[in-house]
Amino acid sequence: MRVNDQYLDTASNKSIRSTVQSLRGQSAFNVRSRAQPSLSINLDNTIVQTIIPPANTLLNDASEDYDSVHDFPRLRSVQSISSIVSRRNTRPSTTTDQLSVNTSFDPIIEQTYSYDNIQDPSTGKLQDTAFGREVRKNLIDRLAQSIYSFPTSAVGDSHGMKPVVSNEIPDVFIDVESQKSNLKSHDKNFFILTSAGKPIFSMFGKDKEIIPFMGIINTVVSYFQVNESTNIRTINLKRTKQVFAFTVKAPIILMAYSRRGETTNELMQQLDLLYSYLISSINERQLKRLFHNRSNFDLRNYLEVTDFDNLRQICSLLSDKLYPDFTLNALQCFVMRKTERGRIHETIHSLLINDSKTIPRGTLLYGLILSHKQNKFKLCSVIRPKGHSLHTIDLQLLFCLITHQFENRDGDQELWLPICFPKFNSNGFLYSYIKYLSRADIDTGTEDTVLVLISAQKDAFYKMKTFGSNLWDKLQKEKLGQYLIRDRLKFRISDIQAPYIHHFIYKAKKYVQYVMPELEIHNSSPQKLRNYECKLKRYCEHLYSSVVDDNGVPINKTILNYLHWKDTSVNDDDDNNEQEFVEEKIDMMGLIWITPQYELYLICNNGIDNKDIILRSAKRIIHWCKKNEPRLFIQEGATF
Amino acid sequence: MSNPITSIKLVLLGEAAVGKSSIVLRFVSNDFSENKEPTIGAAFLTQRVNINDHTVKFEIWDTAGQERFASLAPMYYRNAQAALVVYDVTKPQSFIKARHWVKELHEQASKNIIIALVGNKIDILEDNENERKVAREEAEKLAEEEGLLFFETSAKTGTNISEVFLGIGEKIPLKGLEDEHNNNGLNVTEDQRINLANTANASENASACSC
Repeated sequence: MRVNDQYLDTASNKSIRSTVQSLRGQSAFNVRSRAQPSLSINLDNTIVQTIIPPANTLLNDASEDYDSVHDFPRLRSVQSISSIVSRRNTRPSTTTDQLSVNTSFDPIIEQTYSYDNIQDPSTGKLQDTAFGREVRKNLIDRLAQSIYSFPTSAVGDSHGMKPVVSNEIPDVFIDVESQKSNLKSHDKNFFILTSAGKPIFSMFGKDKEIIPFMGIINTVVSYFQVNESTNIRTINLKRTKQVFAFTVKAPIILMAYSRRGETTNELMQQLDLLYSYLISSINERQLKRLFHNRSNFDLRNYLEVTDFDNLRQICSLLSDKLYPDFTLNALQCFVMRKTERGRIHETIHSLLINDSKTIPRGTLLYGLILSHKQNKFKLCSVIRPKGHSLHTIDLQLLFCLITHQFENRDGDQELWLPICFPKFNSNGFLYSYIKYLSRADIDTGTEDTVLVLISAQKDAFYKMKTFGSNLWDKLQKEKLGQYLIRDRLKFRISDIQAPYIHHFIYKAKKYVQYVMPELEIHNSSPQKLRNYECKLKRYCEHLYSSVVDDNGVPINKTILNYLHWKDTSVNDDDDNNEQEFVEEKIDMMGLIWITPQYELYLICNNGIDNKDIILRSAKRIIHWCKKNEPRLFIQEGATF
Repeated sequence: MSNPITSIKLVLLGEAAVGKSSIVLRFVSNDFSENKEPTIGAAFLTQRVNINDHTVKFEIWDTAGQERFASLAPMYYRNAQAALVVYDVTKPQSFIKARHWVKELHEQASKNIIIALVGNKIDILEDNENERKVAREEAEKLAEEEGLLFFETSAKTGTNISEVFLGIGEKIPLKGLEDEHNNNGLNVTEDQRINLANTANASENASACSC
């Protein structure tokens, strides 16, 4: 934890420490009383604060860092929120630190600090604010305005405001190695092979390159099986921060490699998803049969182009895209008014009850109406038996299949596809009827809307077809169809009165659904978009891994943690080519807040380091999400 | 009611990547796309065609060619009145597979099923006749022995595609006296007919849904 070390190495170290000691009791009280009124935080909650230097500074020689102390802004103590520092809780800091998050705390109370000098965003001049209330309020107002300032935001347009502060957040995860282009250069890779060592799939690398790797992986796995009669789980190289995670499910071996600071548990979860995909395509029983007599069977001959495309897509969603569906294990929901959603579900329900001639009880297992946009599915409606629901992973696998099946295809066709839902029954197939109710069209403002009806009977296609078309007719007749095919209520971060927040993800644990604002992307070349999403994703991952132990279990039921990414070196961000903009210094704050009801991930605008304000915005977001719950989430669905 | 409508249930069979979905896409949308994702399971499409005074409605099952979906095929051809067995003229293996399908159809499918043998991808031969790996005579011989219609097509250029479907349409007894006889014992088909009629009516009300 380099930043802190510097901090503690300064001459004033001792005196600061002593004032902190005296504040200890008082600050704990502050935290509680602050949080209590609106949100009833568990009194036992732990507030953890961590300061993390950006990854790119890690490449510098450690000895130079100490010389660059003068670059470090002057510190000033502010008694806003004091926090308990978990000193072990800092994976991306110095190379000698432990990789795993340690649950046992070293509860030193430390003060937070902020700058003496705050840069005036409009002039770029340094202003000595001295934290005068007046000046500060002024600044806050101005920054608050800045979030409405984009021309794409309706609010910004009507007020005619110009951008004051860039809403762009910096990237602290630039990895120099990955700019090169060979197999070793990737900071993340996935390998799938058979127990006989035959390659099935790898995210990067050509056959020639990966076959030796597959051999080594197989040898390592076999070594543990033979000598220890156990399966290897992980190899952690703490110096180089490399993690290798293994999943052995004979006849398949999967391995993930990461240099991004992900925990073993996160990687194992990702491997489980890849394995689940294989099973969704060939179920476990078939797989065992294929390998039963021929242990050297080459599974690649059995899989199809689609399977490899889908695996590749899953890998890319896992590593480069902001796709919280996988990491949060939750689904995103299509925003709809409470009454609209309610009426749609009522209509579906009444049709199900009254139309038992076309669709005898038990034929339909599960139904979904989905909105589909840029490879991203949102739930509009759910038809499910009372007390049952499908696992989110199963649904995500289904989404992957649908995405590819409708590329270059006539939209009017109906699909009938067998799919194994590994979390439902890994040995059998279910059958999905899939039809597009509407196609995306800018002129009419419609979205891709998909109807999915799932049955256990392989010859139920015509029943599903009839029910599907009856359902859509009825919804159209009741004038409800329009609500499903038009995305009218999507919201941006600027629609919520939560200043300084760049992005957030809120997961309602009860519904296994999450919500996040639409990304506001202005220069959207595919590469830029990819970088942007990857950046957001890694901020969120960082936040999450700061509060879980190595088994992926949050260290407390209720946790509120701030992360602070700070630039301590000269920053060469090559994304920013525009000459007229002065590059912002990296000074990022993020917040993660986990309670039994929800999880909140917050990424603040660059330069915001006042925890007081961040916490206030966080509370506003939570309040907003709770207030709008019936709009943002499917609470009940059409149950039968 | 001036035009009586006859529904023809048609199934496409053949090895993976011979161009079954492309033939359907050309027939239904008069379109072609070079890199098509392989079909998983099966896709269902309909297309209406006027033959003489009749309207024929093709209900097409475009099945997946991959081996692992082969066990599902009987479900699609069981009640079919017509089948296209497709092979790739540049791939001998696909012709062997086509022979198997013809055999299986004769053994398992309904007795009156009309089968068309279709050699696809003849556009490749235009540039270089050496690419041909399945002789036209060989295929004609098979068609003659087994009583099949035979066409060589290109979904890419559209050559002969509509001829295949028209050829089948002409061979199917049109709606009238034979109708009931044909559907004897096929309750599912009878159900479908009612259902599809519903769907057709519905699509007139609901403009967004075009079936």
